Amino acid sequence: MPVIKLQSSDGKIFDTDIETAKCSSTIKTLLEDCPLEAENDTLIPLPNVNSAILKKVLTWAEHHPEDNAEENEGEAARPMVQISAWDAEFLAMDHGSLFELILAANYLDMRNLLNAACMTVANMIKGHTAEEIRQTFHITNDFSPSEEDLLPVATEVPEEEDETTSTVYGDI
Amino acid sequence: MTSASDTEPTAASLLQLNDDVLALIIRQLNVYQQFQIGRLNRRLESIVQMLWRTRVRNVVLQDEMFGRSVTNSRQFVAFIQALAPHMQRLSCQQLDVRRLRLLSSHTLESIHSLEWLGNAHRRGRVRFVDEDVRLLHRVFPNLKSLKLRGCQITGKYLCDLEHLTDLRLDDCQFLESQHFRDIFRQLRLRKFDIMEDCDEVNCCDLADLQLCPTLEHIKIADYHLCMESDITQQLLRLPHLRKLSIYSKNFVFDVLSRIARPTSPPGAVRLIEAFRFSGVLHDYGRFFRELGNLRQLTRLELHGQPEEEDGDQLQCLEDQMLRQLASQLRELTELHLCGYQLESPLGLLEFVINCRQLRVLDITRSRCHGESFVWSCIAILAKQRWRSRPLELWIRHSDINPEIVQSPRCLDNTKLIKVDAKQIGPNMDYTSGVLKFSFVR
Repeated sequence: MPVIKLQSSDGKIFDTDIETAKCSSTIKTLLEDCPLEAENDTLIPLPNVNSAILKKVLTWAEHHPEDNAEENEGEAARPMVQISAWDAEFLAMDHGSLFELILAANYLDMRNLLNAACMTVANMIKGHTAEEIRQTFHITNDFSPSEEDLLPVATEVPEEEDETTSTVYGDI
Repeated sequence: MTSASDTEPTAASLLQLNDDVLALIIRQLNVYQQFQIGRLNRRLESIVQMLWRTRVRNVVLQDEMFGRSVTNSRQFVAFIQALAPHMQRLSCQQLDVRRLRLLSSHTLESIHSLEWLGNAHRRGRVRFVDEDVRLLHRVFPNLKSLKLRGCQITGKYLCDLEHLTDLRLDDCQFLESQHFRDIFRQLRLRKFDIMEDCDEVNCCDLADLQLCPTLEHIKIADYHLCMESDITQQLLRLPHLRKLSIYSKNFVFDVLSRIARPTSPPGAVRLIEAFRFSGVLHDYGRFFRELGNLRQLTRLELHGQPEEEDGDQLQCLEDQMLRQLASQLRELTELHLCGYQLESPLGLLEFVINCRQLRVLDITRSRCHGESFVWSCIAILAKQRWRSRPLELWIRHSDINPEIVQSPRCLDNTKLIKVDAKQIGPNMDYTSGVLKFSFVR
């Protein structure tokens, strides 16, 4: 099986089966544009991906050979897919690594990995208040004070007041 | 982008992702959460705006969306105002009506379609009342389509929604007949639907329905046809009427005879070109005799439903009445007899013989002696020199083996017959007990 070398930003080299590497449309296009001149000698530098993340990416690619097949058929990857148990466990990591993985999947154009990882982040956001989201994901507030006026204020307003007596129109 | 040294102590921020990726994530959130996220940071706001430009024409609002967050009045109004330039169709599903009232002094001009789906049975809930219809008039001045479900309205003020062309009322149990006069006189309605859950509704008199000359689609119940007076004939004279659906639990024959044998002079009433019925009947002979009066019918669709007491046995159609009907409805181009037990192929074959324009014969879910029916069809079709197109025979879930499509006899006769084992009819939504008439334009 032909093998190519992928080099991470921190200089590590990963010998990778070509078919696995082609899960990345970026790499696939690169290989198609520049055909192999000498077998087992091609080195592809990936300056945007460090070794820890590249290792994870390759673990995903090895587990999802069908990703490559889909790209081959020229179909757009399934948009929002179900995340399997394996995927969920694979994607359970600290936020920093998850974001780096997302950026790598984006750079390497690996649609299914990108969609699954983004869905994971979306699921972390769902059901949380704005303040919780801000704190969890360290989102800086760059609105001016007057714009901030519209931001939610944490008060103890109950969500469902007693409605049985509230039949007077305009009673909010 | 990851750097060469990857063990930075700084906290990971969502903002280190690029805009395309952030859009991918934000797209998966409900519209209110998108709004909340957009309020956290300018970059996120511009991404949300970019998404909203094309993705929020249709918006669904539910109370759960505002659940966990403390959504005060200002926040909710700011949310709606942010959506306003993009929204065209709004559906409020089990939304607290007090939220709607927060919009009382605002105007949402882009919205042309509104659904308010309340739950009439939820006790203690603040209800959507007549004053809320006045609010709709103020807040949605360009409303063309309105559906109200489970509301405590009488019908008053609906006549003020001057641009309304499509009105649907479902499970509104306090409607008063007196208000419908103004509705039908003042509004240029094209669609009027009061058929859903009409078993539960107080019988309101729609005697003035025929005063609305712009009506094209009407969905009512059988009792609406004849409360104080019989309005059937007037309905049949509506100049633009295209479809009339009547739900009838117990008076199917009565309804059919009023419409199939109109008492108006010929030419005065609209001609019926298609008829559809789904349900259980106990006298198909009588039913078919009435249908036989619709001489210009081109499409006939009947869906039998198994009777529960008989352990899911299909209802039976006898040859004699089918043959009689075939001799009367010679203009048929489409015949759908789905979910029936046929006495023998002879009844159906009579349609193939008599109806020279027959294009589609649909026996989905029916049983008619299996493959022998197909061979008999082919034998008849072979003699029909006038045929320019093959007859389509739909056999999904019937007693004909779907592999017949590949049989040599079928493959040799594709000019005569096209057997289709996969075709599902255009409408899967068949409410039982509804007679649907379609009129010639």
